[in-house]
Order: sequence, then structure tokens, then C-alpha cells
Amino acid sequence: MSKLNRDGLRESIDAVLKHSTDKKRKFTESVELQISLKNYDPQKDKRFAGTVKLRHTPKPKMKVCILGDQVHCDQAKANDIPHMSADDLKKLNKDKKLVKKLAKKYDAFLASESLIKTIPRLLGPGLAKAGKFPSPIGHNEAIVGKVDDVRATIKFQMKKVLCISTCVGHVNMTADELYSNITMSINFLVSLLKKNWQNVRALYIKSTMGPVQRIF
Amino acid sequence: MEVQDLCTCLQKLGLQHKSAVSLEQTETDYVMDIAAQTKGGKDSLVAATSSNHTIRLFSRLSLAETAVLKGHEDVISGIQFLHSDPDLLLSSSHDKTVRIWDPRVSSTKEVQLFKAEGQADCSLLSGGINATDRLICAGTEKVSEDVYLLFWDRRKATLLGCYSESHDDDITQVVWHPVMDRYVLSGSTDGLLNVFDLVHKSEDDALMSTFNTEATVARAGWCGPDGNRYVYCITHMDTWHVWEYSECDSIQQIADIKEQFQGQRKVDYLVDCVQGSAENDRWFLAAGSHTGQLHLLDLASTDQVQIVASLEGGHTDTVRCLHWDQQTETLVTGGEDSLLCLWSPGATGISPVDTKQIYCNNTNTEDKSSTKQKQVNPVHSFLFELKHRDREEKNDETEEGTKMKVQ
Repeated sequence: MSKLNRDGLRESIDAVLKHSTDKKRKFTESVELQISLKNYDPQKDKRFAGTVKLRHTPKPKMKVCILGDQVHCDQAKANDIPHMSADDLKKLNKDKKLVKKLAKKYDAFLASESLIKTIPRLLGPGLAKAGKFPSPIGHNEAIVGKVDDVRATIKFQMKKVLCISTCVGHVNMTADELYSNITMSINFLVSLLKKNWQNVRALYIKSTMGPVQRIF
Repeated sequence: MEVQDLCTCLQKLGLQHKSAVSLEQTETDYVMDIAAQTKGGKDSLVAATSSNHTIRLFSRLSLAETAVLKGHEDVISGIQFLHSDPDLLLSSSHDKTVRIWDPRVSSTKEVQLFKAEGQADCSLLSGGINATDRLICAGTEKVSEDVYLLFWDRRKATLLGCYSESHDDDITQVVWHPVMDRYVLSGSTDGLLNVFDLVHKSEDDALMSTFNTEATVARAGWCGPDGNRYVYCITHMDTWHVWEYSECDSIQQIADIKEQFQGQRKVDYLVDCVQGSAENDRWFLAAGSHTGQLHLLDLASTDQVQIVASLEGGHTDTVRCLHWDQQTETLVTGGEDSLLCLWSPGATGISPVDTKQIYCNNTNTEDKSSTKQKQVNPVHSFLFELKHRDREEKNDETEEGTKMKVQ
């Protein structure tokens, strides 16, 4: 973090938040981190991609569904989290349209370890095609924690252009929460780069509808 | 018994030879991938891809270059020697082709070329051929909303079929099972590893298992006991995963190997799995630093991963690929410093001055006789749906003789 001007970052965060309150939108704007790279050749160098769990959930409205065994379904019921059991999945009868509908209804899925092995047989490749194949939950793990983890995890991937953008928060978070999420993301991204800060050309943050604030 | 042997072999390795893959001084070409003839042994060849779109063949034990295969017009994403005909080499590329080369015939023209068609005609990010050398499979990049696993019968140039439902992003790894010709593993940046059993007709039925790495797949393969019953995966974030391929049991999931080694012997990234013969139930993980040190890790205890050997004095930059040969007990590694290094038991290392820039004037005699395609006895019939979104393929039987209109 030595390369990043902490005060500058705090000012930029404040500017982003101020802009979103000045011009209030009808939806909760997300806050994005944009990173542009240099000294990196996408044809030769190893792909830059990964997932990181942030401290404060950037997407609190993310809809997660549990595909659970008895224990996990009970926990889901107790916590008001949508869930389906193995029998519910069997009722779909591997119908492609129904599986597609299920995939569209939720943003992510979690599945008990015992159930996850049977997903290809019960549902076919539908969830995979939608990019929503479930993450596993151990038999002894509590689902609430896992659901929060899923909502707090962001994915990023560099394709052919030397620029990446990820969602790191939203405008209803406090400046401190945003600061924490942003620094955590930057530290993680930079640690994955071969030349660390030498690979970073610029960093920006912005709200969905707001202007870009350069932070590096 | 076998376990002890592999570990001891790895501990005895020392640097024997270095060979530069490119002559360009200004911009180093990376060695990105290594393949070796499955027959192994002291006379075997090693193939290495370079980021300058060429494939170079080397004799394993001397690293003397024997041929340079030129022809691909873009990044080469995968190479593999054929099994029954070890002189032939298959390569897949971002130039949308899969090619089979026979260096005895020509190093500038492939002997077979495979392409996709229509919407599936896009960059191939991975490719391989099955154990009976009968089926070729390649994975594409994601184009608009689709990504494909393409299949060809080696005896024909036209596409046999494709799968398009099981991945949601670039397919970076396609690895056939080394012995069982019906199983293929695909890995993608959507984080999933899929295992397909090609005895079944449709994609839905062929899909056996799906594993979620919750990251992006960089390298995948088969390992483990009873003839490689496990699938392994290294992600771009350097997390390590192993699962049993059909019962789907989780064997190993280690996310923090880099964090465990940050001192003198540093791990910046994972390279690949090093395993002995197929009966071996132990494997080691090669990991490296950006300054070229390579460490061989013992993963038997997931809490306390240990370094069994460190290979130094070879590479000066990130190590990208490797190949271990059980017969000769040698390890070949390739890196971003454009070097290939041979590590063999008991070698004491070479002085830095000894880095040979070996360039071989292609002395392969132009053998004009075409290699006859061997008649392969059909063992299985791999039937699966042809999926063509745009046009239907009509197979017109060319009729021999002329049709005479009888009036």
C-alpha cells in the first residue's frame, strides 16, 4: 500500500459519495474499481484472474439459493433463505427450460457436498452454462456464513484489453467501509501481478453513473 | 516403496543442460508449454512451444535441437505427442487450427489440419488427442454468448461435433485421460472442471462430473492411484485442487501455498504436478519464484506442505512448464527466460557461461514419401449430436460413375 496515497483515496471516495447524493438515482449505485495495466502482454504472460472476499458486502441484494441436504435445508428455513432439496431438484426432471428458469431466478447457488456431486446428473449442464454452478458447503458448515461469503466475493478477469473493472461496494456504504474494501481489493490484485506495482498503469474508482476519480 | 523412490529421485536432481529456445535478444520469447513422447526413455524427444509461434523439438538427454516447426500464425495453446505414432505431434492454436506435424516429412507444413466452422470457428485455447489417437478435442474462447468443445475424428478433416452447454467462459485446458480413451477433462475460466464420458451419445449424458474451483482454471490434468483416477487443477490464483473423477470425492484443496513460503525459498506461483508412474499414489507440486528458483513440494500433509528439493541455477525468470520422465528420472523445465533446463540425478550443475544458444540447421532429409495413415480398428463408436446453429451439413455421397438419363 506504500504506493497509494491514502489521503488522496479518502478524498476520491468522498467525491464519489458526494456525487451520488447530489444527483440521486432511483437505484443504489455500485462503486467500481478500475485498474489499467502496463508492461504486460496478454499473449504471453499468465492470465490475470481470480476471486477475493471483501470485508463488507458489495452486493447485499444478491439472491442466493441453497441446494441442500436435510441439515442445510433446515438451516435455510430457519434463516429465511430460499432452498431446494434433492427431491425438489428431481422434480425438475432435467427439463432444460425449468433449469434455465431456476438459473435466472437466483444470482448464485450453494450446494451441500453430498448433493453437489449429483448436480450434473440431476440437472444437466444448465447451471454451468449460466455461469452459476454452485459452490460447495461442507456438511458441518453453517450456511449463513457461506451465504455472506458468496455475497462478499468478487471475481475479476483480464481478457484481451489491459483494463479490468470490478464492483467493490455501493453508495450506501460508509466511506470507511469503501476505503477498506478498495484497499483490500487493490492489495490482492497487485499481489497477483508478476511485477506488482510496476504492472499498474492507473487506478480509478467511480459510481455507476458518476464520473471517474483517479486514485493512482 | 514407490513413494519413497519418487521423492528420492526428485531430491537427487541437479542441473545438467540448458538450451535457449530463441535467438532474439531484444524481446525474450517465453517457453510456454512442454510435451514429451509417451514412450519416454533416453532417446525420446521433447517439444517446447515458444511465444514466437514456433514449436521446437529437442532430444531429451542432450537438449540438442532437432527441428523447428513453423506454420502457426498465432499463440500455440497446446501440444501433445501422439501415442501409437510418437513421431507425430499435435498442436492447437489461437489461429483457430489444430495441426498434426510429422517432422520427418516437413517442418514448415503440417500433415493434417483441422478447423471448425460457422460460429464455432474461433481461437482454440486448448487441445489434445485421446489415448487411442482417434479423437481430437479442442476448447475455444468465448465468442458472444457461446464457448465450444470441438471434436474431430483424426481420420477426417471435418468437424465431428461439439459441446456448447457445459461452460460459460474460455476453455483453457482440455486433457484426455492418458490411458482410458473415453474420458476427457475440460477446464475453463468460469472456474469449472468438467469430466465427460464419450461413450454416451449426447452432451448431457456424457457430462459425468463438474467441479467448482471458485476461481479460474489455469492448468489441469489427471493423477493419482489405480491408473490416474484423480483430476487436479491449478488456478490462476495459484490454488490447488484434487478430486476423484467419478465419485467426486474431494481429495485435496489447498488455497494458501504461496502464503506458506514467503521467506528465503519463495513461492510466487505454482507450475504443475510431478508424478511418477500411473500406479503411484503420491504426487509432488512444482512451484517457483519469479527469479527462476523452482521448488518441489510434498503435499502429503496439507497443513504442513514441505519442500523436498529446490532447483536453482537454471532459470532466471518465471518457470512456466515442465515434464517429468520416470524412466530417465529427469525433469525438463521451460520458462519466460526463453530457456529449457534439463535436471537429472546426480548432475552437479553447469557454469553460467555454458548457456548454449543451439540453433539447428534443419538437416532433416526431405522425405517425400507420405506417411500412410494406419488403419485403426474401430474400438468404440463415439456418437454424439452434431450441433450446428447456422447451416445444416448435408453429406452428399459422391456417386461413382455418371448418371445416364434413360429415355
